[in-house]
Amino acid sequence: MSDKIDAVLIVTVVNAGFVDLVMDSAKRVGATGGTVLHGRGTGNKEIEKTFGISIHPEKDLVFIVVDKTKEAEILTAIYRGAGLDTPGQGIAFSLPLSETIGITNPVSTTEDSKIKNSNGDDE
Amino acid sequence: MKNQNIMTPTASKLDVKDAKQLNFEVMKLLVIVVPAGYGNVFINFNKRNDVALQILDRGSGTVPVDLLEILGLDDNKKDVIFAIVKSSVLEKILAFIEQRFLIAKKEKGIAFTIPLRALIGLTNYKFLTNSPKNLGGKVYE
Repeated sequence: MSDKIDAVLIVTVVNAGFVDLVMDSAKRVGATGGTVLHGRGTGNKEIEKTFGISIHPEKDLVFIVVDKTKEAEILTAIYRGAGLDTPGQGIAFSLPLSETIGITNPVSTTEDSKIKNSNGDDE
Repeated sequence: MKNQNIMTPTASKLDVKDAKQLNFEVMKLLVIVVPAGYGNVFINFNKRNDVALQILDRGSGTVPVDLLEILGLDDNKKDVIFAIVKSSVLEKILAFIEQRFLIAKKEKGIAFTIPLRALIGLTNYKFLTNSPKNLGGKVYE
């Protein structure tokens, strides 16, 4: 049956074309990959005038499945790298997952890469 | 100014625990991500198993284009399926997905479920579970 991994789904809504900001930030702290969907924001003009910001209607949604232990670290990294204070103007949140299939190692830690490197050296 | 009693609508919320007590089937949002063009396999199987609502969207992976060229891959387009699945058929569907991922070379992907916290409307419930609901001795059809 499905993999017994305590995983969460991190969803980031970011301005279209700024997916790299999100993925670079997430990968830096251990995320491996994600899926991108395209969407359109519905923010109204009143909010734009009130806060003096411009809202790009075209949005990208980035779905990243990660281990629960890395959730806070990756969310923080996305907030700093692609948050509202950046050109990406991203909003990120996480959802708990019940079952997962096809995700054996949602995050690659620096320890993992060290192990891989040491194994390669031995061979 | 005259005081007015303002009636605010109150929505009774069924959480997962209440749903089990009332014999409501707990439902989950199933998300399947597979290479573009292979989504129909899963959509057809879901249809045969009483899944009333599913949405197929076109997405893409996050592998950089230059890396794709190095790997000799054409594109990283994905089919993303969102489906509301009742718990009684969920295991069967997950088993099918797992089997397809194992045996079909080009259908490698990921799938995960997210539990639904609440649902409003008996009609919606009946539609999503594809069955009349017997609640408190009355059959709602």
